[in-house]
Amino acid sequence: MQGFINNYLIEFGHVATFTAFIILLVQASAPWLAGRLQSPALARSGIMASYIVLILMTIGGATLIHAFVVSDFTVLYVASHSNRELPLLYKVTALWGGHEGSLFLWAWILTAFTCLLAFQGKRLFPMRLPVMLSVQACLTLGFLGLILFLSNPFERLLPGAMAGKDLNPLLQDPGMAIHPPMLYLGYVGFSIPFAFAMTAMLTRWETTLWIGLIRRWTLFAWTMLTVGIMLGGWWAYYELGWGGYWAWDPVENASFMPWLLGTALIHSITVQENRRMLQTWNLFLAISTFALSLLGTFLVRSGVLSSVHAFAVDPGRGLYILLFMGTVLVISFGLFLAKGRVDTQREAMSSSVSREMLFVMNNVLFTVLCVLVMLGTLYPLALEAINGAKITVGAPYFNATLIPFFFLVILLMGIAPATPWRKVNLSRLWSRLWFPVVAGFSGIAAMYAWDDKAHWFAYVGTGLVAFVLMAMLVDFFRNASRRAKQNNENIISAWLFLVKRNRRYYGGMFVHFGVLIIAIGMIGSGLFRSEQVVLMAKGDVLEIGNEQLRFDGVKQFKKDNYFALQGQFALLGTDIVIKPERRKYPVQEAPTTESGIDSSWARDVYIVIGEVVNGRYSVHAYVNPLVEWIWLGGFIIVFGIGWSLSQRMREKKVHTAGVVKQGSVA
Amino acid sequence: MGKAWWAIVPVLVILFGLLSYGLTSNPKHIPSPLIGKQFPIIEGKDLNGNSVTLGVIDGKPTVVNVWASWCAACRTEHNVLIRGARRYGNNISLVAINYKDELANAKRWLNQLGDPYQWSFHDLSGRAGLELGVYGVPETFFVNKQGIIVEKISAPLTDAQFAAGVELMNK
Repeated sequence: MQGFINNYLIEFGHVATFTAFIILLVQASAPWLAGRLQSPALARSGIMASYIVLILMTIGGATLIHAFVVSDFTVLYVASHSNRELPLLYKVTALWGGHEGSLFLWAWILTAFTCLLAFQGKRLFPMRLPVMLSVQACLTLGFLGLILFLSNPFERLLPGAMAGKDLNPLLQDPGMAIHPPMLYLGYVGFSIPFAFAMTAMLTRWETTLWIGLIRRWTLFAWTMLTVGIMLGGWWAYYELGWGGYWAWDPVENASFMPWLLGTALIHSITVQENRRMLQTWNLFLAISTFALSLLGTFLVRSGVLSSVHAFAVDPGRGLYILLFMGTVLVISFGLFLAKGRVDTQREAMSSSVSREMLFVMNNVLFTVLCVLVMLGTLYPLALEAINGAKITVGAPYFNATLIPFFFLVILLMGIAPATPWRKVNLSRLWSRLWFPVVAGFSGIAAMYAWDDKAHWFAYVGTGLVAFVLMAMLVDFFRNASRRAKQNNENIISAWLFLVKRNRRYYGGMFVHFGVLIIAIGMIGSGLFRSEQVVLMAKGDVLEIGNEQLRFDGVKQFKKDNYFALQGQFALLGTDIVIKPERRKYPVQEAPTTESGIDSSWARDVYIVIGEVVNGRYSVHAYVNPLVEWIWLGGFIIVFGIGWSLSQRMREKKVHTAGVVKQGSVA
Repeated sequence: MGKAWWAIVPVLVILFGLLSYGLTSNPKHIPSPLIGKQFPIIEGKDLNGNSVTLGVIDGKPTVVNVWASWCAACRTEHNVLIRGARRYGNNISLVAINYKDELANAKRWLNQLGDPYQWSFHDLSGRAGLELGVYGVPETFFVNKQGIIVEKISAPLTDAQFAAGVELMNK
């Protein structure tokens, strides 16, 4: 009986997924059928359909996970991506360790979002919901079509394989296990603003009536994408063993582009909520952000660009995704060009310097950044198409072109929150900003005093960070002391009261603060790191940065599904021993390196142990200053978004009234 | 819509042009440095314990296929090899390197799925694979009558690739 169940469970999941495909066909056509047949009940069926589809997809996903957990090697996908020896956690996460399963996860998450949308829409916009669910259903169909007909994770291998091929050892890491789902939550999350935009254009629904509703969806998607990107960097740093966290790899860029436009969207939504401007622009951003999410999926899944994310694919799948993406983009941008002007009223900019103008500048900057990333990512392809040359565009291009624009973004982060909506009184703005400006110049001076031969990025970066931090402090004192005076409180409790009441504004401020912390980490680790490659015998001492490392030989042992060779490095002056490893996974044959890291807030000592040459080991050592601040900044950003989203009740009033009482940042 | 928005159209056209071009070119296709070189001579045992030697020319062009019973992709490839052996068997030799595999598993595989090979070099330690720069299974080498490697495919073989490889060997 047990064997029978195990044998047919996967077929059950396959059938469930196929059934979901058929129901989605109905859901996609429901609004049009309802119009034809004059049957409003049919239009409402989309809601129930979205629940059923989620249940069916969950059955499909659960049977796949079950096949991994029991190591059912009659499933081709399991046989190619798992192994009996694999720890349980990685057996489960192996679901998205390959092409077919990743796509399945994409579609699965999409159906979950659709379900949530149906739940929200039932109450808030029942008339528009069928069209919106139809848009979502079309997107899901596109992915399920690919899954069921071209890259099917349910495909059987009969008779079954003797043993599985094992999961790529690089993916056997906790950070990597949750990195793909986080990215997908972000990519897929942006489908909701997209569905709103499409529905608005199809049904002439004024953006002002729904723009407040997509803010939460967008923030959520943006946060997940941020976490996904950070985890990718974290994984690269701890697992890949080259001492860095970001390489401007095409696939990294693919996730960074929607992030940049998503950031622009978050800010422009706020402008429209407050000032009823930028309606058309917001439609464009909502479409483009999702379009870039699709592009990201295409770049990763088609193998068009060479990248560390080497996924083997056949051209049929690439062609399918390209055609699908082409259809989505032609329809959505075509609709935009034909019917993009859904709002009748608009408000013009009332003054040259105002918060809305600075927000517009923010949007221009983020769009330019996105275009620059796209140019760098696609340029090798263009060059190859023109003259056949194979090149890669690397960090020098991206650092030289992007970082100056990021500096401008940081500058705006200091000025915009101090600037009121509509019109600014310049002398009052100066009274808020002169002290931060002094702090900024002091930052530059301090940096110069500490090191007068650094890259100019170091001085400008430090100055800007000091400027914005001081602007935040001034803002904090100004608001808190005003309240403290009125209520006779002490300044800290007054500020805490404000933070608790105006969560949206202070949530945004926490996010900005997190970004500054990340900027500090990047200035430190990007511009001031030390690096050495040496051959070391037992007893040798290496001096690097301000640290001294003594090599005390290696240990060898077997653990789980791998063999390890572990170097022992004593950090002199402490009792810390740093233990980098080289692992060998017998089934996959591929060796991996586990860097040994000693972390503190000031610096990471990062060691990679390599091959043995004449009894001496090749050792690659780095001292990376302030790198831990980057991860800390990530946590602060997530906290800030959570804080901003926790303003539930006030939010509901806001989107109906279209007015926010206090200034909001995002 | 305002005129400026129509700039979307050329942007999309260029984007799709580039991406469709990208689909037709393969960024990972780097020709093997072994192509044009002599196939190395490696002595060892086959699955039945008989002495065999890789790289000795028996007057026919030789296809050397690297496989393992733990390799799921090899299974789909297996039918291609069986068809290929049937079609070209009189004019070519098809031999194999059984790569890092348990003897019992390898034999069971050939019993179940059929054995298209004249013999399989049992490369338990992977030393033949090392000499040939094998970095993933399956891989296939096409060697001409003079013992020169004329083509190497580092992926499951297709019927078309098999035919093209045979043509190259006979040139």
